[in-house]
Amino acid sequence: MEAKDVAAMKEQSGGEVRIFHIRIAAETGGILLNDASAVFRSGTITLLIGRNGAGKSTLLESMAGLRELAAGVIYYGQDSLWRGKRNSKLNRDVLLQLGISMQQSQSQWFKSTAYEEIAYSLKPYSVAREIQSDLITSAANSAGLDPDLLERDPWSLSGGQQRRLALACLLVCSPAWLLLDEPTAGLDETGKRRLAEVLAFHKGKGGGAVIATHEPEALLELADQVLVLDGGTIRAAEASELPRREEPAAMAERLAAAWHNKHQHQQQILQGQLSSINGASISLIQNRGDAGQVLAKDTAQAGWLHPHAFDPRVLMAAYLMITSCMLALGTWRGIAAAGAVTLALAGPCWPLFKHWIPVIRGVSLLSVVLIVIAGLQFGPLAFQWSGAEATAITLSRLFLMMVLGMPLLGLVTPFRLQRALDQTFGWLTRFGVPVAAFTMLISLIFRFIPLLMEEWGRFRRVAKARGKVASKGVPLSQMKVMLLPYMRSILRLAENMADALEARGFGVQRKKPVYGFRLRPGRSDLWLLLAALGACAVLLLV
Amino acid sequence: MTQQLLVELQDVSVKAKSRQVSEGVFLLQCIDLSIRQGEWISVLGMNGSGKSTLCKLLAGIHPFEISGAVLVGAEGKRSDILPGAAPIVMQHPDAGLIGSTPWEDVVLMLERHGFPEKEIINRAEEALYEVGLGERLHQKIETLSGGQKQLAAIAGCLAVAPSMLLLDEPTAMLDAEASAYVLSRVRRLHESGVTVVWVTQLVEELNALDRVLLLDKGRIVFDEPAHHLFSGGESGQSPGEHYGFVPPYGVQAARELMNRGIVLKPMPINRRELEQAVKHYGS
Repeated sequence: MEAKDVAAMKEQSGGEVRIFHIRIAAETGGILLNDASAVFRSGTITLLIGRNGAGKSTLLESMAGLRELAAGVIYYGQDSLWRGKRNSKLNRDVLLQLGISMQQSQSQWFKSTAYEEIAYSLKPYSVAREIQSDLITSAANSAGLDPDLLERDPWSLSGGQQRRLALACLLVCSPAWLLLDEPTAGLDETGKRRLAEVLAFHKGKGGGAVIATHEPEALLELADQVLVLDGGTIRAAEASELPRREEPAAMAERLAAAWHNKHQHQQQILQGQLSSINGASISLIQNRGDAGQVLAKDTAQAGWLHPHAFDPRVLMAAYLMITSCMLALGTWRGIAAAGAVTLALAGPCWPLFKHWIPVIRGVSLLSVVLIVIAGLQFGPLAFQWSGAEATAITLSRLFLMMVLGMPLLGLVTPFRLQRALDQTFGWLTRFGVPVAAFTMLISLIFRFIPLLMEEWGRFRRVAKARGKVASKGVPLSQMKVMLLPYMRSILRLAENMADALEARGFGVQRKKPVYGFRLRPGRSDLWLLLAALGACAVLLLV
Repeated sequence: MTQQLLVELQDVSVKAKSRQVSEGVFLLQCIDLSIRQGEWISVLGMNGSGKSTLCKLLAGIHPFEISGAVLVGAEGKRSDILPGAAPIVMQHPDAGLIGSTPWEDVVLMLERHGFPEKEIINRAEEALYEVGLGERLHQKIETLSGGQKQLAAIAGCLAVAPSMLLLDEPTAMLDAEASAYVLSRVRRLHESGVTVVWVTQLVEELNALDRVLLLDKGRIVFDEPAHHLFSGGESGQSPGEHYGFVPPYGVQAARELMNRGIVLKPMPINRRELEQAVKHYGS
């Protein structure tokens, strides 16, 4: 790279990335990062360390605009990463300056050859066609990807080759900022050395890098600062937290000298130092049990809010009782009573279904639109309430029934649902209906859905990062590219699952199902039933 | 070696059955192996060396064509399939779990294995306590870390009281901390008497006294304690290096010390052992 370009890059990146007091909320509720601040200078490399679940990946993804900020700001030079009213849009100029590689992004390919894959990453930069192929070959070259492999299907490459391809996809954009999540994981010694070379070159030409890593040893020599994520905030690492990995020869030399001198005191010092090689990682392991995904979980949930509190059959019965009473209501007085009942029963369960807010909002909006349409009169165009009233009552009733049903999803696990169905319909087995097989299937489907969603989320982030998408959602054109690889990925997930289930002995069919656990209605179910009866009485009396 | 013999394989070869992708290819060849009660066996090998096939063979899951003799139990009963199939813990932490809490998962597993109904809950809880998930019986699976998920899967396998615990690269998809945590937990189970077959590609996970089966192209090419893996002559000449494994830090350091006249015995493999050996040297 010429000196002119170096200067241009420095100017472009504006020297540093500053993050101020950012807070990131988890999708499932809870806080991942809280009041985190840091400065990263261009021409320097920063290592992020910290326990599993401390928020390293979250921080990198936030810096790439893949997670929304609940508070705080992120600046690249003079430019804010987010802009627009209420930070509704990402700054595309900033996105073009950065390249992020997420964990496992090396196994999410969108195209049919490695070459096209690199070209896909380059697409947002609208590079002239003539120089595109040069850029691609040189990126492959610096990532250590054999030119012969460029025509291969990315999925057919070995794990190591796929990692190199992922690196090439990143380098081809020559971003001023590299954000790397666990880049050394699964790399052999040669791979780590090459990565260090690539980073050294990047740093030499004025680029910056932020690297989350579990094994800082491998890149420590290159690093200008080491930051620790701890309790949702960022702080500088203390000397004792840095791994001091001594070359085996140097260590042997010191130990040997100490022993030959038979100098007890000195020997103890040396032993102490050797232990400190491991000290950091050992304390991490011991703490491991406490590391969770989110910092502050909704632990304040009341005891009866967990899925083991109620018998799913009683829940179902209560729900059916109340909703059938609601169906009979036809006046506004009745709707008001139904609203009060819903509020009283579903209200305390709010933590269980607050992540359904978008659905609630969507349905309310749809209802309003339908009510307006129902009240429209043509010639002359006017709105008449009398025409809309019946619709309004019906829709309000449906809306309340939906909201009342939402807590059920959090109060029943697939396993308990399966058991409820088994116990309710078990007698059908006598007539040759394979009840157990059906209920097992239901249970499996429910288990599979969250995995599908999680995978989709990961794909979405990868697609957004590679396409430099500035809007919050993923545009339709990008969706098209994602769909096929996503299908491939979930098929593989399903295959893994089938294998694992077989390996755990689930393949064997039993003539008579065994139930080690049976649902038994308890005291809390009695209360639930009484509450439901009370609610019905209220609804019937108004 | 007075411990009871669990399984003996004599000159066993395994081929893929027809209609599989690798039809007719030998997945394992001329395997001679006996496993005794209470052993820890580390199965080491590169991708495609036959590690998983060996694991499946021991688990009694085999869509394979088998030749040779499989002897089971102390009396050496001849069998062409291993009965009392042992479940395997696989790589992907999410794939094998179908309960939405560890407790549900283990209960389901015991039910599928047809245990007496009255025993199931006790057994499940005992196994979960044993792997250290006693505090998290009813925690939602998705809030567990990868390592904890693997421990839940291990608890399920333990609960069905298999003749041995089979783990097929259980740490391959975990980060370093979680791997170390799972490994230390399984080591503890082994100390309490469980027979363990631990499949791995990582030399750092071995202990010096582990029995190591090194697989290469479907054959067992090394069946000795781990500390012999990198001993023998100059570097590059040891069996481990011959089959493409890089000596871990402990071995490198021990070699450097040996060059200076300090011999650590047995040769440490991982860092913890190196530390111990250094501490106790000369005392």
